[in-house]
Amino acid sequence: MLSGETIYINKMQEIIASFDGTVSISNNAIYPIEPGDNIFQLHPFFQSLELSILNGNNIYFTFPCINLLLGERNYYCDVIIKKEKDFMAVLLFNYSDHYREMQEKIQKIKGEKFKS
Amino acid sequence: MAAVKKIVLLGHFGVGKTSLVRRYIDSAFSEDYLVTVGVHVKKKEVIVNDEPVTLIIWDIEGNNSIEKARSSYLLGTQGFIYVFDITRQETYESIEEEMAFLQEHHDQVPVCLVGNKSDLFTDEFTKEFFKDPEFESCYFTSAKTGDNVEALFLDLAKRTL
Ligand SMILES: Nc1nc2c(ncn2[C@@H]2O[C@H](COP(=O)(O)OP(=O)(O)OP(=O)(O)O)[C@@H](O)[C@H]2O)c(=O)[nH]1
Ligand SMILES: [Mg+2]
Repeated sequence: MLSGETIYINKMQEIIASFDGTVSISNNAIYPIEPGDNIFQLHPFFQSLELSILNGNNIYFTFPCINLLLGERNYYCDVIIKKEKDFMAVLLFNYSDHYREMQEKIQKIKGEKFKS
Repeated sequence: MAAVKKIVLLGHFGVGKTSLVRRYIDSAFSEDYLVTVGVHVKKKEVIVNDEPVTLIIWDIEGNNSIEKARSSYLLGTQGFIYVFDITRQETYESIEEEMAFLQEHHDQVPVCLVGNKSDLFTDEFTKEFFKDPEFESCYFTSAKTGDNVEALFLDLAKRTL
């Protein structure tokens, strides 16, 4: 065990936003977001969730392996959204390295099958 | 404000889901096959019946059956595009089951069935090959030439309203 620092802290971004998407807090471990920014405008992925998050009965959502172009960079993140009483928490896990390795492996398998 | 509609592309690997989105959004095509893992989400603004509509298109990784797709990806979908490859039988032989699955689990959601790679039809191998009832309202598209791609997305957009 390393001392002093945990391993995942730099891979996880916690964003707190109201139901209209307005961000109040973000620890910015992956991508800088200012208080007052709108999470639904961050990326079309979030925009398409707006209706199901606000109107649905679900309060907990997990989305594995979402490709997100944020600024100039492409990330593969797992995204968790938890609806609380009067706000929502959006957790981004930056698993880009893991999913890129996985993509290369699957590329070999499906690429071979596709040719045959 | 524009209505926002979530569209999901389904189908086996290599049928051309990513290529159709790329043709529709970037007017581009590549012969290279770059396998999708997880999901890529893109958007496009269109005008339907004089009203602006924002299509948010989920291009998901290929699966042999919809049941294997991660269920959270399908949440809140307002239109499905089910793509098969006209040149590969395994990609369309279970169409009936696949359509039945959508009917059962997403019965209010419009579905467009799409036979892609129509540029590979020949004088002998034509659309007539797909004359069974399950292909009745099938679109035939080519992401390579762009044939019917715009019409497909516009028709589905209309049906989501
Ligand atoms: N001739 C022809 N080839 C196509 C067409 N559409 C796609 N392809 C080719 O088919 C291969 C697979 O295309 P993709 O768009 O990556 O397929 P996909 O359905 O996204 O595959 P997965 O992401 O693995 O599920 C690529 O080599 C494309 O160039 C088409 O309309 N005509
Ligand atoms: Mg793809």
